[in-house]
Amino acid sequence: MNGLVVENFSIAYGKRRVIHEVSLPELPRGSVTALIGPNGAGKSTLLRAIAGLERFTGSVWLDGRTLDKQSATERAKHMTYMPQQLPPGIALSVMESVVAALRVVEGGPRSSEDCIEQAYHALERVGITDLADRLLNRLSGGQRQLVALAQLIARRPDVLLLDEPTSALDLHYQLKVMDCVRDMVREHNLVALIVLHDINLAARHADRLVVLRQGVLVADGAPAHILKPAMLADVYGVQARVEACSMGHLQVQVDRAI
Amino acid sequence: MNLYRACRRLVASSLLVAAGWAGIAPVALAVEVTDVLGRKVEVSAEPLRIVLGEGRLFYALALLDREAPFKRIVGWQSDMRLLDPNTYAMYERTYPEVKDIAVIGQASEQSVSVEQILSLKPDLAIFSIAGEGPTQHSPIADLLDKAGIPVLFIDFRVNPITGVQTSLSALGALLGREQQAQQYLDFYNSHLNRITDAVAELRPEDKPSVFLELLPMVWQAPGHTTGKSGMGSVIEAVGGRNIAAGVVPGALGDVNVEYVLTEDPDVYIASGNRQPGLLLGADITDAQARESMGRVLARPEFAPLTAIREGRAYGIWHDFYNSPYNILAIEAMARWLHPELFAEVDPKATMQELNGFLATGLSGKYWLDGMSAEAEQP
Amino acid sequence: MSVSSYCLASADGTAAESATLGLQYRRQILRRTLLVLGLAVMLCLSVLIDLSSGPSGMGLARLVEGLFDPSILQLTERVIVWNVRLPYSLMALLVGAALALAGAEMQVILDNPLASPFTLGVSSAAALGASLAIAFPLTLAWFAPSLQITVFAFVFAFGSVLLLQAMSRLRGAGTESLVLFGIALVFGCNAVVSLLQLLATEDVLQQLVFWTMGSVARADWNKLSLLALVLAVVMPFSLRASPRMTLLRLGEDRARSFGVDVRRLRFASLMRISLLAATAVAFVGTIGFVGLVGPHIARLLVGEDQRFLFPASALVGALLMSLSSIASKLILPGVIVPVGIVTAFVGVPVFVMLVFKRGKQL
Repeated sequence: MNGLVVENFSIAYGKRRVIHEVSLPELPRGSVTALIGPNGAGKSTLLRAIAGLERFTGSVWLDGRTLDKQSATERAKHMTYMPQQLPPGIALSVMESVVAALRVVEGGPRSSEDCIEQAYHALERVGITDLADRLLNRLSGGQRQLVALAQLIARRPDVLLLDEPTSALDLHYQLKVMDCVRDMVREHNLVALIVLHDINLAARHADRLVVLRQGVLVADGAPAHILKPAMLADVYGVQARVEACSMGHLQVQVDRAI
Repeated sequence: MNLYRACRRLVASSLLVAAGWAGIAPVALAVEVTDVLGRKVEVSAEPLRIVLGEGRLFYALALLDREAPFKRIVGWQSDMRLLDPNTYAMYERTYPEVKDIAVIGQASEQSVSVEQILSLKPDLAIFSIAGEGPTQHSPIADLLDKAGIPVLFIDFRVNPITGVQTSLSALGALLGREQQAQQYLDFYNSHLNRITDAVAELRPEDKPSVFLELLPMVWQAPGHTTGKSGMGSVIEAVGGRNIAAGVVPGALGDVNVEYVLTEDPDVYIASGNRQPGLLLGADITDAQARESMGRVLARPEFAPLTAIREGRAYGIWHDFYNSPYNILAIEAMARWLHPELFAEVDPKATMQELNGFLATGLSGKYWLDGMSAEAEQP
Repeated sequence: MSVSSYCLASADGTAAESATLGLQYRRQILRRTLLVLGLAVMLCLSVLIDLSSGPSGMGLARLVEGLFDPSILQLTERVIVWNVRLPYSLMALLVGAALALAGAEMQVILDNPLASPFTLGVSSAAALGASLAIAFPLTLAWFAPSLQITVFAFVFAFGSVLLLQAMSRLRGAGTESLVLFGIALVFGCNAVVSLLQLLATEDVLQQLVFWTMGSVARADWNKLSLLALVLAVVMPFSLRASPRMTLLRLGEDRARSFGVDVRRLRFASLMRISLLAATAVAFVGTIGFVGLVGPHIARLLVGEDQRFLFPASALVGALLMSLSSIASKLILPGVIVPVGIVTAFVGVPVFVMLVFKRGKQL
């Protein structure tokens, strides 16, 4: 087994069951998986639980080793989680924020030089070295997301868990962030599980899709296999066409609600 | 305290007593007194540099140092100038050096600068046990003690009647003015006893109910009055029943207007010393007093009171609440509460007598008899 | 990737770029360190001015001489130096440091820029404890009334932060609820104190009023040593937690996913906050704004890296109090304007300015 395995996940808040015995297919290293579904499906909750931020029953395996019983610091060495946005108004420079993310890694770089070098490489990989000394509160939303990505990358994790990383971004940064993620996943053999709202974005950048509805796994597989009008009608309650655009990318066109 | 010092003090005290018997008032020997808190206060020589915790404590010193009463005062708070400006103006006219007395605070405990007190190198500090100056709980008393400066606590406020006795005798002894202190106390007590002896004979049903409103129209709400201590105890002493005694839990409080109207007291007394309330005090004329009292009585909250409608409404100078001259208030109030019993009591004459103890006597209107009575001229 | 002054044309300019970037970052760190040192220097100056000002006219030279050779001073002068000037100045700066450090930690832990020991009820709880001790003193031989007041103030202040901590453990209680609860504490405690004032005799009333108004005039060497000890013990722990606190600023979920035990961090921080705030308030009464405004001024100077922000906050707080102490002596000659009033006068305009500036950012 080489990748992330999520088995038999159930999450409940008191009597309310949010995730109902969800098992994800093995997510191999070097692949990007998009988690999609309607509002309230439990996508974010599932992601947070895998990251260790919610209580759950079930198991998580990485490369054959169990992760869910580990301590938070141990888990943090392998998995990184990125919430939707960085809080605004933080008076830290980009470089400072990435270095800060590095300082708490157990077994991470200790000396200033190593921290700086590792941080710089992360900035370089994400392509924002020119923003290194800018303050976070002076950056646009898109630029901040790239910084957040750099923080994750700097820690050299094995798994990227991204919760709607593109929701607040414009077209330029949406593309940039997803391209960046895919490049890094390929280059460093990472596993990426990304919650996405935008089905087209998911179809374009993900290797596979996992569809969740009301806490239950409904479908999973390559975008071409999953994205069918029947599935869209069933899950989203819309009548839609799935077509390939002139460049060959899958496009979902919604015609009307059912 | 070692044995040597104790012996020295014993010898000094004995000599003092002997000298007192012989009619001599020695000036350079140590004196020890007990102040109103029961503390032993000792000065090694007659104090010549005194700091007053409240400027208004000066009224007591005026009785003891009749010529040049300000000579010993090297520092005080500004409370007399701020809270009793008419009296201050009166003193300023007669004694211009008043302006030059060093200021140690504005008119509150927190504003007192202990360093200022220390820098004046006083040989005695006089504080009141409550009021706008440092009290015994203040760290200032400890600091002065560390610097070897004796602190005397006096009181004309919490227990106005007993406080006068202890405070003046202690003060007189410390200043080497026992004679003057005793003379004033004799005068005070003879007038006081005439009233308290008669009051002791009264039955409860003979005691009229009284509502004493403090600073009406100056205080933010009507019905500001005193509980059992302070002026409340004075009301009891002159044979009245303070309707607020059981109602106001602490020293001061605002009673419900409805309560006053329901109780409908036999006598209504207002206190005042400044605008926009009742005008009484130094240099106030009868006309000013009457006019301001008219406004106070016209307020709709209390106008329905029987006492006010039937002319049993009186006015008293507010600052009697913290003054050794409060015998005037006692006499005036006694007369209002028991006119037949105390028909002979004449506060005007008493005031003339009291002025004999002072270099600058009281001059002005300090109480207001019933509005329907004839005008009182000082 | 846009071309910038950092990007060298060749692909293997990476090492050189890294060195350059490191330089900028290092410069930033150096700048921040210098700012903190600069604050320390300003504080020393302020303390010297505070020590040399007072109505007795004793200048710094004589004071310093008297420190080394007490025999040259008269008794009054000695009392002025050892019981008035030194304790008041030192108490001002220690209290300022403690309150501002507590405020800085509170603002991170509770994720609220308006959090401070004053706004969250610690001062009010202390006032309540002190008022109860003043109004109902126990008559115990070994427990002097003046000591009772300080101890009760401390216990109540400490307890209020523990109460906040307990609230934070309740399910669904976010930082907003905490702040609201703190406000409820402020009003609740103030109401009870007012009630006590209503029921009080004259003597007790005066003490109550005196205590609630912040003043360094109750300082003595025991209290100074205790507060210095508390600061000296707590500060290293604050600094040790500061990298994790910086991460917390980036979002609780993010910090947790980076392996920060936020619960433990919060608990330890609240312990430090209680100790600092309760001790400071127990010794000087209610002093507002220093705990709120100090960290904000520090943030404008050194940014959000808590490794710098914590010490900078402490220094700014100490400086604010020291300057207020000077002002309180000089505004009205011979008269003290209580330092609690002066800090409000200094704090309010700075606070309003900060709010406007923040508004522009958002």
